[in-house]
Amino acid sequence: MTDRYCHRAVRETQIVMGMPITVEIIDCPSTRPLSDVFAYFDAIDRRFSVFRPDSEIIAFNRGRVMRTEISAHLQEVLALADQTRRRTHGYFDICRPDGLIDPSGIVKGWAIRNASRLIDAAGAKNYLIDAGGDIQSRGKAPGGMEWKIGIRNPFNDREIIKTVHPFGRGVATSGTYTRGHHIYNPHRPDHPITDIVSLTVIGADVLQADLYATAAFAMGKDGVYFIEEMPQLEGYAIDMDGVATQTTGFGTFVVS
Amino acid sequence: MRLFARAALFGTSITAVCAVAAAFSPEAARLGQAAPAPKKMAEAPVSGSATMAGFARSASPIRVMAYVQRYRDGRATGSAVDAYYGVVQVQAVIRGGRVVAVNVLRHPSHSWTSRSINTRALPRLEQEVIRAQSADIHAVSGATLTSHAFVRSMNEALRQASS
Repeated sequence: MTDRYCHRAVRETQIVMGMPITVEIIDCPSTRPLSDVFAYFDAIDRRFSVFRPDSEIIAFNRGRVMRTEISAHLQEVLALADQTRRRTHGYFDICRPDGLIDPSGIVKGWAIRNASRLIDAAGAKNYLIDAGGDIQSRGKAPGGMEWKIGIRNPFNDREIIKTVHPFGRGVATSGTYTRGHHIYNPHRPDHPITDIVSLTVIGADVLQADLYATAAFAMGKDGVYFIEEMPQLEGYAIDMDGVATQTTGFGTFVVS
Repeated sequence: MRLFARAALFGTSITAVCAVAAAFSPEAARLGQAAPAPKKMAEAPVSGSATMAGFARSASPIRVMAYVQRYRDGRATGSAVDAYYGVVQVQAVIRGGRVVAVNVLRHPSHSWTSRSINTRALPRLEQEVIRAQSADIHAVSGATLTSHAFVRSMNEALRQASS
């Protein structure tokens, strides 16, 4: 099937949902999946952006749309958010202090996961989606090589400090900005976060990786131990002194 | 993931609505009523450097306006910028025409509660000192979006202070 229908390599980057998204398909049946994927991201942005006054999320937050009237998309995102909140001991929460919801922390990974299903359905077996550093790969890279993903140095974003083969799993990194050696937790501003600055998670898919990277990062130095306890997840945490801690199975993905 | 890791907790019913969650979480409720006090981040460098410290070595094309310009004294709040993990918003504090502090008003982390996980004896995990490497890679995983959003919000604050 693959050889008969899929032989073109296509690659495109667009700024959607406020971030650069690159889709690279090695065995694309046509350019159709590419345009479908970007159209999908655009539609998701229109529905979920808290910056678009006509988005469904704004309508929901303003009470213009009742809980019973929301789209299947929003229902799915809310259910996922609720499930993740409970599995992460409340560390992943789309509820803001003002009582409104901001699902953007969940929508990104969810949209990439759904985009990968669109590409699967188009018949491609070998591709990579990189949405602002959250990555879903499938199959092989050009030349039949394994896909190789670099982990960015949190202290210098031009550098890579680790290279992994995701082997079809999803990769996501959560982190904070640094300013000298001062890093702050906005919710406890008097308590500088002195432990981790970056946490990379490899999950069953990019959605799992993204959700758990976000939640575990908020746990500080406990985060990587939380990942260690979770089935199907591996993690690599970097603290402010540049010391990395990795879960026991992370090494199986490491190239160098 | 540890071998023989305990099963994850499963549950699918939609029960949480924000108002409910906030009402039953003292921490969330407390945070919800009063805007958290802005934290003075650090003394901003007053120099010709066009980038925020921490981004100085960044290859990022988004740059903060140079600080050599003199700004109106007071506080200038940047626009809320979508980092897609949430919203970033900063405030520049200007004294004597110069930026003396940057307050982070909003920053995404999706952690409105501070309950600690119930840790047992922690497993011993492998550690190493990170080191830059050169490798041919297909993509990079990293958290730079927040940084970009931070810089955009800061630019907006400085634009206001200079007009």
